[in-house]
Amino acid sequence: MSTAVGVAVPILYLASAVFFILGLKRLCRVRSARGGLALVGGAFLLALLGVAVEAGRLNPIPALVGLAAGMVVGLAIGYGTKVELGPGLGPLLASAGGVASAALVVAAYATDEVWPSASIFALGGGARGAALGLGFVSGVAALVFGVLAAAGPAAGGAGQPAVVALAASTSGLASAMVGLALGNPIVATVGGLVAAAGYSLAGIVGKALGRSPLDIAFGRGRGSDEYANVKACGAEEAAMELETARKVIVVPGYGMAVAQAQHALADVAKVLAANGTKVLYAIHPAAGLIPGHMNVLLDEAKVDPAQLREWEDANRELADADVALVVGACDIVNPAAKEDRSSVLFGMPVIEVEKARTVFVVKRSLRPGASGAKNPLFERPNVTLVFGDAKKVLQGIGVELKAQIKAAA
Amino acid sequence: MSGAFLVALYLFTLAVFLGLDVIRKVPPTLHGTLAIGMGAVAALVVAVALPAASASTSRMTQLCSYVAVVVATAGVVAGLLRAHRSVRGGHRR
Repeated sequence: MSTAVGVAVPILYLASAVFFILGLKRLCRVRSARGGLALVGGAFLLALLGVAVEAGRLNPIPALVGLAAGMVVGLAIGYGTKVELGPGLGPLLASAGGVASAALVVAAYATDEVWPSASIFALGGGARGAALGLGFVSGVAALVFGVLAAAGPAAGGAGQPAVVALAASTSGLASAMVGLALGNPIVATVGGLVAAAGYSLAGIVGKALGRSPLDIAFGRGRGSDEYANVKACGAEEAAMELETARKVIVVPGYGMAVAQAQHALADVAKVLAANGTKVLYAIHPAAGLIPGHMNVLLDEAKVDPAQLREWEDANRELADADVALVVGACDIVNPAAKEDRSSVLFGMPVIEVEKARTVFVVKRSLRPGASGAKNPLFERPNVTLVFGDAKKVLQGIGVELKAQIKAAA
Repeated sequence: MSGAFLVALYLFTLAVFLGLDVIRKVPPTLHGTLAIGMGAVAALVVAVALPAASASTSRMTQLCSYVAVVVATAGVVAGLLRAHRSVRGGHRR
């Protein structure tokens, strides 16, 4: 290896690792997710460039043929599968790293050049042998999680990302172990990074659903009896979403009146408006105790009446809204009123918040509204609950929002 | 134990601690995108599969390395594409 090559390879690998870390960090924020993905793509190119330089005079043809075949398969699956939640081949791809690692372990054991099988038990071979063994086991685990994500009990449910994250985590561990055994620093580093980050993400998704990721993967402990797939998050995550929204429709209900949350709500709306977000209030005639209840409270909080919309106008505005923020309302946003003939609410006009791209429902619990009817809105994939007292939650969102806007400026 | 192994072990250990901290708060709309993206990153093992496919001489090793290259490449390409598509419907700002 010449000096130039000896310097170039570690630098390419180092740059690649930095890109991977920054990319993953950015993927956690709505505003920067796309840029994060581009960084991850760049990281792959840098790593592969490093491989190409390092490989030197090896015959590139077999590697390139395999690469081309993999790309064709990848493009077919990448474009051919739907990215929404659901069963299918797509989620299985998260275990690709694990399966490939397991195959490499077999390759390593099958050859005398790469891995002299006789020396497995020799001094020094023990650690590498252990790494390869763990790599194989994690690879198999990744395949199990991949199959569970694609066709198991969580497939198509809100918990699917948790199982995909488990598959990615075990894949990362398998890759790291193979990288370790073969002394490749970038694969060991990035594999370890994903192993841990995937584990974290599985925990975060599990927490949002109130179940452990393993329970989700194997379909144990269905959570609430009445509701399935209910996601919940905190004020901070809700603020992350609101911060990048262009248009927000607020739907106040009886719960806002009880919590006296109108001032905290108006404060959030003011911060959003100053950030360039269009904020409208959807007023349902039956919201609150008496007709006009919401108007009185919002007027008290000095909300501009021009921002108020009757339910019919509100439903039109919701079609292109980024976020619908439901504050202490239940029956007036219940889609069963339109869809379920057996519902006591059937026929009542409702505010169709589910038409917004993302819906946050600030509510104390899953208890039904005055009608006593179950609200299937809470099970929709684009709906997240923020449990708590409306005033406290909105104050929390306000604080987070201000901090995030300041950080983004 | 070779030097390369020890260096990789160092990096792996530090990366695990870093990974636990990199992901802390994720808005629910990004759970799916992030999980798919991580699946793609986990397939970086293609970086050791490629030279293995070119260097191997025995039939068994060659076959296994080929499988590894194809599967891992497909995982990277499909994962990045799917993550890109799932984030595309997102915010425009």
